[in-house]
Amino acid sequence: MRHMRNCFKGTLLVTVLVVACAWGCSNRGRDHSAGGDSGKALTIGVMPKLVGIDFFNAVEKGAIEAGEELDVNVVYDGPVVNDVTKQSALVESWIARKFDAIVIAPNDPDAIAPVLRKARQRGIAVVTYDADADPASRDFFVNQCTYDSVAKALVDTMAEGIGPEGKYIFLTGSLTAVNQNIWMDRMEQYCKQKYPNMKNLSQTPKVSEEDQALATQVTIDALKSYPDVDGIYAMTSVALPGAAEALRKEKAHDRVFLTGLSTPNSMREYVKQGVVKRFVLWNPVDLGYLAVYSAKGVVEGSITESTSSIVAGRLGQIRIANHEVLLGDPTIFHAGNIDEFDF
Amino acid sequence: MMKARRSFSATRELGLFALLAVICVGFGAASENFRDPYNFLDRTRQWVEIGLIAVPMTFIIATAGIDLSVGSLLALCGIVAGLCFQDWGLPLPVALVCGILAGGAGGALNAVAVSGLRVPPLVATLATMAMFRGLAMGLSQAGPVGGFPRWFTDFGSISALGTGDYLVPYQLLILMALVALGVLVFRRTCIGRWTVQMGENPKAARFSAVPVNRLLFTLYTGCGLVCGLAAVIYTARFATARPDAATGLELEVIACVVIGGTRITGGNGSVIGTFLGVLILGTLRFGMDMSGVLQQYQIILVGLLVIGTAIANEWLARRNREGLPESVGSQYAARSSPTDSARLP
Repeated sequence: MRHMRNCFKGTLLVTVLVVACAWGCSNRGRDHSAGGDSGKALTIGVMPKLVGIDFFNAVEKGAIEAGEELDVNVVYDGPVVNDVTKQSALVESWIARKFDAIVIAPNDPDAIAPVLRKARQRGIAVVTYDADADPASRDFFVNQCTYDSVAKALVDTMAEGIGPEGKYIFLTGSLTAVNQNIWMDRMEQYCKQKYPNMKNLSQTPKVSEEDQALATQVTIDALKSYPDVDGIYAMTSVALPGAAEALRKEKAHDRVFLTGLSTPNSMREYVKQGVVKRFVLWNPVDLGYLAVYSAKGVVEGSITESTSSIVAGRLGQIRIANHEVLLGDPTIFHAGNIDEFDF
Repeated sequence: MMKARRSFSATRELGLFALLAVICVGFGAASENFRDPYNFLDRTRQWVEIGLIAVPMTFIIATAGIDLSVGSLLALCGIVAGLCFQDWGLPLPVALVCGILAGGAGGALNAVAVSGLRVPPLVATLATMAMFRGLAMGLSQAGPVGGFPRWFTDFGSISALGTGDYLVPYQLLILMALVALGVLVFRRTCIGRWTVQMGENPKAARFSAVPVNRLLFTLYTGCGLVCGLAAVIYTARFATARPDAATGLELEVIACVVIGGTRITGGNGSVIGTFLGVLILGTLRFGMDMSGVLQQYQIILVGLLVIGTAIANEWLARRNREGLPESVGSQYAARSSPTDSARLP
């Protein structure tokens, strides 16, 4: 019994000594490195909302491309489900690993804010992309598209398809979807100004609840209840392929022009068959590319509050305003260019 | 009997301590960031909620029970506190107390099901696990509740005691206090003694005038209150109360308790062991993070650790029975013949 206790105490003592030594060593080591290796390549962590989906795989491609151009070390990692608590834990470990910059697409603007604030306190540059965090917790937000630029691209595409006097309806996700509501609002404003004779047949948008089969059904019903409709806007990446399926089933794609927001992979088939001629989305490869460029700029001090533009590699001149880096106009996808994209 | 058990648990705790030391030295040698005291202390914030709940869970598992509802209850308490603050406009400290009390109420519900209605704990808490999560989702309409003041969210992830790189997060102090309390209660009070007797043989415990129902009620309600406390810290750490908070937390907590040497079949337990279990799991994860081990491999290593320690515990328990016949004698008597052990104090 006594032997056991002594043994226990001994181990305790030895461990405390070992740990103390280790910590002591680490402090000396850091003092040393603080004076020394300034030529070391930067490490930038890029985090998606979740890994393994096409959109963020494309972001990763752009981020790595920028990393190679800029000679910085890009680490791409993220949670396997869109869980902000997992993102938060990963940011913590990136802070501990002393990354130079953290580039993140937060799943929740408020929940991620404390760890991002902590990262900034520890001297790490924080750049958000795709979705913003609480503005006080990050240095810059790389805005893939302003609401107005998306609205303009969609309305112009529609006007080209149905003419300046066409009649259209909206198909959205849910009536409470914030982004969709703002886009539709801006689209109506822009449309009134530029194409005053275009007409919205249904003041309330049709609802597809992010369900592709429902989007198909709702579109088939709408074609019947609005026989004179010329065009349909499908405002989510799920609603657009759903609506396209409806046009194909009803063989209505010659008389009804469909456009909206979705990804090339989910639309490829319909574009090739001519069911959908043109649709709109920002380019996630460029988004990842620009985010890494911005992060490096913030770390090196070439992007500050007063900066109004930067030159970001192949993207050329990029505008910066109000702590936001603006990617610019969205991309319009059609049969001629869709095979260049894989996301 | 007390003496024999002490030596058994001391051997086990010694082993756990050695394991922790090996992990520390190993990763410390491999990674400079692991050795950084700021990093290590800051990382402990991620263990606090698990550590807190693991203390009452040790008691519950020692009675051969289990509480699977802890993660869901944590989420519910957070939502209750968040809604009291946001929708009812109560001052934040009052809202937080409401959250903790909601934990007590949830725990009491478990207690009634387990002790009063005699539903097996696994079934009862499996049911409340779904219920609490559903309530949290319903009350919050499945969305996060935020808008907490800065001092509160800073408490969760930034504020600390100390200077320079040696910053001890306040919630770590709370955890230490609860662990100390847990050790005292387990070793020095009748609650601890009754818990072990109950786990060894519930029938015998009833015969020997252990107030089994009252004991169970206290333990499950206490566990609920601790969930409420953990919910406050969790909410501060993520600056939002979330209905999907702490999903799967119950499994992490149980893993820590099992690593700590409390047998899942009840009858013995160690709060210090559990605390060491929390430290071992946390340090191992931290070390793997710092040396860049990918998430998916981390899960495999953690699984191996749990199995390894479980095997070691069984082996130790067997050796303990063979090596110390008198103690085992009484324990075995307790298991085989309730009337015999009814004479035990």
